[in-house]
Amino acid sequence: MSDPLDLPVAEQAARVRDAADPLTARALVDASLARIAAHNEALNAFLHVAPERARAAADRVDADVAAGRDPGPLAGVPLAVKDNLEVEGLPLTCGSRILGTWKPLRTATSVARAEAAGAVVVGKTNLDEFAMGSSTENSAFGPSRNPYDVERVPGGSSGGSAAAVAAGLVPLALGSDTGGSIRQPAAFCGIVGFKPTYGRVSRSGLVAFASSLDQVGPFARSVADARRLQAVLEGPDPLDATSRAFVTPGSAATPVPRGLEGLRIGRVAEMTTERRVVGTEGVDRVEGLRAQLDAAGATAVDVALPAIAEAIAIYYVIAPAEASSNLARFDGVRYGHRAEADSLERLYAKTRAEGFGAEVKRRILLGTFALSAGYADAFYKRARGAQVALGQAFAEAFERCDVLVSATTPTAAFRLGEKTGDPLAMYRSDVLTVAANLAGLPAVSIPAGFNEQGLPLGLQVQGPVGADALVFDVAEALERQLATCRYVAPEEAA
Amino acid sequence: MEVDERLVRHVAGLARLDLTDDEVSRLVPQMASILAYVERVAALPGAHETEQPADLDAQAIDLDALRPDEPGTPLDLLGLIRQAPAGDGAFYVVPRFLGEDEAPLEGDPS
Repeated sequence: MSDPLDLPVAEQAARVRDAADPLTARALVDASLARIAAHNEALNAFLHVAPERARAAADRVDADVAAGRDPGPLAGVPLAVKDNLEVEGLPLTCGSRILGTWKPLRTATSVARAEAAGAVVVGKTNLDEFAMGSSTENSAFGPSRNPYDVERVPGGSSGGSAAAVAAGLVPLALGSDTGGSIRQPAAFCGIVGFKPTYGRVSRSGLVAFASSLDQVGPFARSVADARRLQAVLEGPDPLDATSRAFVTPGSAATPVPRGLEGLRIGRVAEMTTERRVVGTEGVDRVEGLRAQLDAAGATAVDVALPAIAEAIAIYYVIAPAEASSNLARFDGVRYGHRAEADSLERLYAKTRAEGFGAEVKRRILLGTFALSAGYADAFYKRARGAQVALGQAFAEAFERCDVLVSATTPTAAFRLGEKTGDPLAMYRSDVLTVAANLAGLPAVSIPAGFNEQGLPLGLQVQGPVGADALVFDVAEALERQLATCRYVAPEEAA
Repeated sequence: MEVDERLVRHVAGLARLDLTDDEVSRLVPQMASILAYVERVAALPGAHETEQPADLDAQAIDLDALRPDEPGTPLDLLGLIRQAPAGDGAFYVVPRFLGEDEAPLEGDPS
């Protein structure tokens, strides 16, 4: 851990903020860029690296320190940004060909807030096209690779951000989570990934997939690091009417040091019911850790949540329905790719046929179907009703326990190509993560050790709406208890 | 749920999405299996509730979160159009969409 880039984020920032310390933002950013240059070819984590912009930003941080101005709590810390978040002047692809060479004219609120806190954006990371997928195999620019085994996926859709943090290329990254797209890749790559309560972080500048489910959040190597980034992201934003302030005591910014003693940890029996379909090792691993939680003074509470087993069905109606509407804007007129056609109708249909990949087309069709006359009542309206009931079931469950603890994913990272032939099997691997999005809950994945092949497994903590601070507190306590948090140093990667 | 080529082509038309014959052939069984799976939503608790609880509605969108109605600086509109795949500097350019038989708009140079 002699390289400053491997220090906890709080220490990196403290040393950069200390004018007497020789460590500069420029040195951290150069170290990150050097690691990206050395390892990105093997990992395909970054779609675009921005060395000039990053060095200029780092120099501004260093100039602030020299002038006695405080650059903020993330001073000089290199940050990777998922390429569905707008950064002014940098390309924005969403992992798709349809945006062409489009460059946004504004910066997403979440990214702007991280930069205002001193973080330095070093590049844009790979993702499943428009964040639709669980492996990054749906990226138009090729899949990212898992640093633990480059023949395996890093998860998705924020797989590039997860791989970049896990391989030590950056200490922090931003992702977006619509059905598990932060937590699942965090689990597959052995790092921490946090999905805030819906509305806690602005979605302005995040390219919309399913607007009622999308949420931006942090990746990091430890809960404390993730929390430090989350603290600067959150808060209402005039540019996103679904962002709001929370009255729940304690923001993510204020850790309340606490142990597990007296904590009521809920266990949902239904979160293991699909194991026969999608695998069991993640579930078994977390079940095996329960004795440790009991020993630390936590109280295990069995909670019935039958609706959770049906969350996949609800999700794969609602998310595609919203996506089919959101992606209507990619029509060959305003952005990027445009097909040659002699009529406007032909222009739309041909541009979209050429610009979108197979998974995006599949979801647009599913969503269009679920909203179409004769089917909207049977699919979309019923799914919305079931979604509301799911939220109520969670609220009742949280009267009996403080948090729910489960595996993040049924299995460890799968092999490239292993699930691409069966879309439904890929969808069903999201079984443990999508419910938090449907109910708007805060949820985090932390490392929970390794399977027999040495691949990471994740443990998920979910809390009531607004209880992001509690989720972080419990995650920190579990992290200490389990002491499994590690990441792959670059020389081990690839 | 009966999914056939006709349905897939119909939905693709609604979605303004051209599909090749090969894509249609692949999508028919995929859509059939996915829709057969998600069809179960109709039988779930709450699926037939049409009234949404007031607190969940309020949770979705907080009207107090709407920003003050004050003029601000918009994005650089000409900068947006400059990046369009076809523009004339001030407007997006699209293929002619009025039929041959229709009268040209007043002032239309054509």
